[in-house]
Amino acid sequence: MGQCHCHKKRKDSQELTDVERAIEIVINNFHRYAVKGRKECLTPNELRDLVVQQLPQLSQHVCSLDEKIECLGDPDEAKLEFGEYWAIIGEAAKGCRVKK
Amino acid sequence: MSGNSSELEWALQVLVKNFDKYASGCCKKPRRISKKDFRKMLSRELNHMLTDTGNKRAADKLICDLDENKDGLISFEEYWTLIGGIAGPIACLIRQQEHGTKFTK
Repeated sequence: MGQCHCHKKRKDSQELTDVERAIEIVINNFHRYAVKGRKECLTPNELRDLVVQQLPQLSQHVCSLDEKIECLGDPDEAKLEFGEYWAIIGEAAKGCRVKK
Repeated sequence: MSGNSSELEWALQVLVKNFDKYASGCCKKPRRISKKDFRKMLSRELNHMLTDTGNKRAADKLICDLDENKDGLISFEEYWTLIGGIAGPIACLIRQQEHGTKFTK
């Protein structure tokens, strides 16, 4: 996949499609909240803040968020990679489909 | 949804709408994207992020790996996994580049 190329283009947001811009926003949110320790990962607490603050209307669809977060381990130490974050966000996204 | 959605909520809606734009399905069956339409979607909607989407074989491989139940159709869950597979490496790359600029300062 031509990631180098895409990153170069990234600066020119005029050229990006809505879908690409949307993906960037999801990535940016991950980075904005992943501030403690290893910055490639979110801690469970950071994930909770992200979902509560950034998905106020959709967080109700992330079913049993608190339970899920408890299962992830130490709230300030456990590491969630991008893929895990993506899966949880996916549940919220499914929620917007159901809502229609 | 009302106008006071957050940026992230907007983003998720775009990704959901994009699935629905390419998916078809009749009445009771859940909507799916065919491989053909999926390839069309990749080249139209992700042309800056996937420079090799013109490469049919690469796209086919991606879709084959993705199509867990081998029915030739892509469900919303499979679609979501694929987009995540594209976004993950990009997220790492952006982070690395940010680190890179910090180190060179």
